[in-house]
Amino acid sequence: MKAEKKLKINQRAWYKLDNAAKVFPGQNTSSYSNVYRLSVRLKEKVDPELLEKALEKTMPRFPSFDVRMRNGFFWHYLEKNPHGTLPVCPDSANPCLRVKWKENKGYLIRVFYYENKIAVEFYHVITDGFGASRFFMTLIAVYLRMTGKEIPCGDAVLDVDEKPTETEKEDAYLKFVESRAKAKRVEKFAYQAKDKRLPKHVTNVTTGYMPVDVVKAKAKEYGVTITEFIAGVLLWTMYNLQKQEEFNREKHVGIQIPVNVRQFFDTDTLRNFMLCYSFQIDPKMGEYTFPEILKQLSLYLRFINNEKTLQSMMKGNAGIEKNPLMRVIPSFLKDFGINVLYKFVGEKATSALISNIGVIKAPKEMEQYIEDMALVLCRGMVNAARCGAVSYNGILALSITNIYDSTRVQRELFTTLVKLGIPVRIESNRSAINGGEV
Amino acid sequence: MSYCVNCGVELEKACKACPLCDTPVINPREKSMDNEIPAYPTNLSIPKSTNKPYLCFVLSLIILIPSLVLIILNTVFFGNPVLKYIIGGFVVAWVWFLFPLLWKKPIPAVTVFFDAFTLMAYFWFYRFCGDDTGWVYGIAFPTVICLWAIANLFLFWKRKPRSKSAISVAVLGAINVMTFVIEMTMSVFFLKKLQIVISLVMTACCVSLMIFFIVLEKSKRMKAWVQRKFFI
Repeated sequence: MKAEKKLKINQRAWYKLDNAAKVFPGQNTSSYSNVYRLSVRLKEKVDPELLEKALEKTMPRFPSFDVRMRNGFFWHYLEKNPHGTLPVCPDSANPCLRVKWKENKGYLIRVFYYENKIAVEFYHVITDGFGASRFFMTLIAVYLRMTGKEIPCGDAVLDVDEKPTETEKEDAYLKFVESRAKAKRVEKFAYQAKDKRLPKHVTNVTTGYMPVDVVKAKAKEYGVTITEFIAGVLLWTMYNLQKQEEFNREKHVGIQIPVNVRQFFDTDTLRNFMLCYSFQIDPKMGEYTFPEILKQLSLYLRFINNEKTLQSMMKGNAGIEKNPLMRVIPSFLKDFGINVLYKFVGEKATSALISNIGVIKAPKEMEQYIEDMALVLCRGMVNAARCGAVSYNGILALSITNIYDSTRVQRELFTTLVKLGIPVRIESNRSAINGGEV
Repeated sequence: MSYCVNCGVELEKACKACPLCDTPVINPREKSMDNEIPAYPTNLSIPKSTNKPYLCFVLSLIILIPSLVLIILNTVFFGNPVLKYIIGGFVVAWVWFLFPLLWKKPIPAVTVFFDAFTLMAYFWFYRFCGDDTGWVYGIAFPTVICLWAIANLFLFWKRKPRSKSAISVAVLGAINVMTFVIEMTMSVFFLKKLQIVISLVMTACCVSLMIFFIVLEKSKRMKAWVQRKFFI
């Protein structure tokens, strides 16, 4: 690894941040970074030494992950990390901590272990849920192989002996921006389920595990997909919470849904390639019922979920990046602007966020060694609910990250699911963050 | 396996209470849960906070550079007497805002003492330079001493945790006393007699606000109403 350090600057691989990643460094504060975590519970205790070796073997297959953040004069960029192997650390009770460029040997991913759990945290600058699931499943497969299991490659498990392709490292946004129209976003400030804040760096994470087939059947009953169904339940939860607060002037209730757009555009990039859909309901228009909310949300998502609308959304985002005035502004000023904008406007238009990375397909041989999988999102700045969902091996894990001390959002969400006839198994870090007391 | 009787969700084996509603888990058929491994480790990972002495050093340099430039300009070219007061202002700002950064855990009473002392030294500097018409001892010193005494009283009172309303009442009271002191010293200095007018208007405003906060503290219904109507 020392030889890596001696590489001249022209020999070190570097990548421009993709279009979505450009805002994330600016959003960074001393307590917030856009980080998310994929974790898996194995059926046996994790060996950290083997995990470190597995990581060492997996990393070269994902060159766009083996990077550190560098400050350019106009933009930040990613550069091959010269600081040796990524360390594997024991896990803590507060996941998705903020990222600092110089910590963790400069790596923008962190690997943790705890008893029979392996967790990897990804800074959103390097990849989205799709790329993260590829890296994560490959790492788990390599680890399991090292423990003597026979795991073939396929689906989300990539072959670590294969060379990475150029398309895996491409910025797909710029490749597919063709539209001449720019989508405009008009969203009003939405309701926030505020309460007493937890201390800095501490978040309340509650995960509910439920059978995929039951959720699917329930969603089918309403004529919607699983993502639409979960998003609908979350929106219904926030709507009810606002009603319970009895405000005279009810605010809009909004939800943000990041969506993987690879289904519309032919790319196998492992970097960010997602867009955020936002949907709001206005309680001033009258009382809403749960089926009504589901129907409206489902119709809206299906209406905008087409190649042309997505292209115009991409054009809107890329237009800012390509604006000559924006380009010549020094990066520290851009960061400052983004930070201020995000702090005052960023999350205000949404009451909650739900990111469903869907079913993780992996070779059948892995299923017997894995109990369940979960996706945990980082804390919000004001949002009380940042939800991550992932399905694996017939279990859907829905995690909710809350920065407030009160559990009313989590309780309303999971009891709604129970009332709808979906059995939910709960686990939470609440006891750990409260020093052993719930 | 146990279920929460209140929420209807299945709970993990190590759970002693429902994480959603705090209902205790009592399941006589379940064996002792003490040996079960919880879903999350018990340790919290709290990152180190900012290196305060380093921050103090960098900010001091930022203040020091323009101060040095001003001193050089003043002594070599202009000889403008105003510049020395600007440099004095920098010194006061350093003691007020940067000096506490050098302490691991600043002691409020000590920092308040240094703040008051520097401010008085700064005013005395005016007197030393001959730019005093008597206002340093007539207005500035009594005001600073009074402010220092009120700050110490407040800190002494605040040793125990106090509610927001109680703090608001105390702050309003302190503002009211300060208004009296300032008006008294100024009227004696300028008019050569004791005259109190503005302070009485201020007292009326402060007392009505203080009554509002005291009622707010006592009445739960009013507190709930205010919280709903004026939340930010």
